[in-house]
Amino acid sequence: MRVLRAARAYGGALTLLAATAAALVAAVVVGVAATGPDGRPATVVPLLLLALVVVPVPTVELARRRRAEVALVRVRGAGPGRLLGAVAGPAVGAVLVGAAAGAAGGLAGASLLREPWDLPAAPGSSPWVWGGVAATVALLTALAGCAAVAREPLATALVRPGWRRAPGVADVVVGVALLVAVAVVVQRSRGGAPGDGGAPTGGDLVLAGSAVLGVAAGHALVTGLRALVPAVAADGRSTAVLLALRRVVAGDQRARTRAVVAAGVVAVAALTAATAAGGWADRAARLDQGGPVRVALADTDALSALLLTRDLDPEGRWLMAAAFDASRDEPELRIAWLDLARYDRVSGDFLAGSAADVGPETDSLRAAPAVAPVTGDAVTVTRAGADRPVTVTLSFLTDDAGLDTASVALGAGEATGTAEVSTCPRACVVVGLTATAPVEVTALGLGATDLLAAAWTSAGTTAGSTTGTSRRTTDQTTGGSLALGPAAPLAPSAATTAIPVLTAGRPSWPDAGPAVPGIGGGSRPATAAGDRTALPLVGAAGVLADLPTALAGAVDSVSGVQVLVLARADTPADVLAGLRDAGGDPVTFGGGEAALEGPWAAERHARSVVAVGAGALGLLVFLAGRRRRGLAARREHAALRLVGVPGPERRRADVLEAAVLAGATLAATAGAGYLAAVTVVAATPLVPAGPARPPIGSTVEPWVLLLGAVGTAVAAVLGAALVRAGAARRSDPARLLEEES
Amino acid sequence: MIQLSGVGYEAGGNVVLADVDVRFEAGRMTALSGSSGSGKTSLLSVAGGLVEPTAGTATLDGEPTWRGTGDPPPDVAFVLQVYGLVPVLSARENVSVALRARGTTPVEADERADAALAALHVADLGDRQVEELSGGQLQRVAIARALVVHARVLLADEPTSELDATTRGRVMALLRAEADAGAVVVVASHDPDVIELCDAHHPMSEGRLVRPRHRAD
Repeated sequence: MRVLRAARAYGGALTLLAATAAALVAAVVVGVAATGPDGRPATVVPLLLLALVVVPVPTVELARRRRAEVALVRVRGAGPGRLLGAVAGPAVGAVLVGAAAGAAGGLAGASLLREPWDLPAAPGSSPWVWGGVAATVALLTALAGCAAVAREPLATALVRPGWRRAPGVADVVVGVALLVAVAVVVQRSRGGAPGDGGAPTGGDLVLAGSAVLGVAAGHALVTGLRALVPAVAADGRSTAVLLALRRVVAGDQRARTRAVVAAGVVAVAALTAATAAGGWADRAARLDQGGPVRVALADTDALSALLLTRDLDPEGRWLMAAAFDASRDEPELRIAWLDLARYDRVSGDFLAGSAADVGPETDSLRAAPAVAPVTGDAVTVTRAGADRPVTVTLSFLTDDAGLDTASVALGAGEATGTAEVSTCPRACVVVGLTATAPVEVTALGLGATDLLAAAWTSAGTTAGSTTGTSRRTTDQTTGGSLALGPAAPLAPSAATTAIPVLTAGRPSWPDAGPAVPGIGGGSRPATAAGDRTALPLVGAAGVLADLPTALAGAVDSVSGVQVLVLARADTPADVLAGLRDAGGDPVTFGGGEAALEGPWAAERHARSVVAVGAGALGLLVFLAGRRRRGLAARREHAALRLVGVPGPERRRADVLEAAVLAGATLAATAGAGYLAAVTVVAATPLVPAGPARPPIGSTVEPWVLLLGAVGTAVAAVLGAALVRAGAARRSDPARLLEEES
Repeated sequence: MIQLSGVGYEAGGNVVLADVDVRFEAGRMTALSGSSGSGKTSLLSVAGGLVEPTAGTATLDGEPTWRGTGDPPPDVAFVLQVYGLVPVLSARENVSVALRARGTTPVEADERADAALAALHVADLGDRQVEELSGGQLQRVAIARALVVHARVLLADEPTSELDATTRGRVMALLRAEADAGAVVVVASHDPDVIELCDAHHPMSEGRLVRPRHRAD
């Protein structure tokens, strides 16, 4: 009954308290639901801490309205139970009703977001448990606020509607406690940062850090402004400046400023984390994709893909052949190959600005000899001397991924011989040369190509040997001839030259020196041209090499290698059609969210909910007591008019008040928000990124800071404007003759 | 001199003042008495230009006190029953702001404010925000604010209602000093001791002056 009577008498104040509880519980329920079954419900902890400074604002507003009523109950000598009911009944009722509405709203919100956010159909008990925790926090905070009314001197409560206790030891204690809390948060934040793609180590305590920093920033701002006022007053500033500063630090305003700055900082931190998760997904998806359009060629080897791109796009304007082997976890065994001569044109813009942009290194990666495809219909061999028969066999990789040979049989007395080649009309890659007997080859040609013009070397270990061993390389070309025999097969030097590579994830090289898997199997000596935090296709752990360089001498593509063609977004349709004819299916990059699945999305959604919840709580703070504060503003103007303060001075005070509020809240929110982003969020347990994924770092986005700070300032100014609007016009000094209400 | 001639005032359809003819002389303290609702506060408001009379005229040295805005003339200072202080300002600032509004430099205004508060034995409350003060303290700050400007007219509505006898005497002495300096001082009060200290007394009933009475003439 008391609650119903109170609802009728104090509808506005009760509604606002209920709305605050509803916003808190709804945000917590949706936030926890958004984290998903494997997420971290503690992501919403900042909202719970924020409630500690937000809920008291409407609670105290309600209590102020009810001071006299409660005082009368005390006068009548009510017992503790009745007094508790009188003091806290309406507030408790409002919080419970608000919490119930918030839970229902949260359920509805989670239901609406289920499809777009891919939330589980049955969210489990976690949202309800955390919603209950939020309601309990709101309830206890409201009770604490009500208790202050019961502690007021009875005489004062009965006769002084506007009386306020002077700030005392409690303020100092709160300040010191906040200082200690900030130190703990910063220390813990430094203690653990998200690992490189692994589980974060910051600890759940750090999750609360943004709220702690926010409350501390609000408290510091209010304390600083209060300290400033006597100096300004003593400095003899104008009445307008004095009034503006005094209003900003007035007891009524202090709690609001503190709460709205805290809400702004929590929102900035949460938005930073959400942006970091979203940005990470986009970056990770771009690494996976490699280029604007990705075409997987399932039944094609890397050489064929290279030749296909050269055929479809001879000038290298749109297509780039690529391959990668990410079937193993060890960084030194994860390798991607790109036709780097075309990198800048095809993927340069797509990866520009990311850690995986390898544009500046393409020249150094292409320093070793590259594959040199040749064509012809006959192999011609000339030898020095012709004393005995010998057969010289040339091995080459055909354009249909087959390994073929052409054998030239030279009889006794024959110095020159020719063998027809039928499988090399378009392009072949020479991979080896052997002879059945020792022989000195003085001329070797395939079609019109002089094969002795290229360097040859002892093949040593044959291709296909165990990974991790390297070939011995010795230049065998001397004086324009090749000496070979059954025990000394030769291979093009390009096949065995150390290949330059970029690394990511600090590979563990074998003792013999850096070596990477060959695209045709086996291994190949390598030289590390640099180390990056991420590379295209392989991500944060692996190796990148030039595809044409790697293809030199490779006799096949091993089964684990995926062959791709990457294309620009503006690739002509007929060129894409050519890729489709080759069995490819072009996939256009649709953004990280579309390309990646995983807990990062839940993280982003949950953080977004926290940001929105904090913003809503911040706005509600400034709505509390609007009517009462509006009346007080009119009486203040009336009092100033009574003593002759002119209108322009009073209006200047209104404008200055808004300006000081805006500037102070903006600076405090931006400063503390930045601090939260670089300390707390950097160490906040974001979701594990996964193996070979770049870490989910927290980059401070200027637009996030700006949005949070400006939003906070706007809320603060709006709150002041709502109160001051029309106050000057309706402020006849005669109003002061009426009893205070 | 403030002259009210045939003043009537209605508010919300009720007759608050009717046919009031009275003159408040400079250099004299005049008391208004009467039960609650008798019209004392309204009479002070009309005399000070806070409200426009619905009949008759109220003038200060021949000029209407009602200036069309509800703002009192610069030469009029009020002590309101509900104090009318600015809650966000400190006690000193509340007093000082009245001086600043009249062109006194802030530094001098603060010094004079401190002196005014000291005269009422509340100098130690200068830095306190008025919303932290008790009723009696508030009343003394309001009196200090009215006294410090040394206005030609000082209208005080129940200025001693929350004061002890000693402080009441002090306040009346300060009001007397203002009158002696040539100000028109009008005090609305229930307190017989206060009325006794005034030079003239006008009891009121139901919006009318009952019988004018002058002393010490």
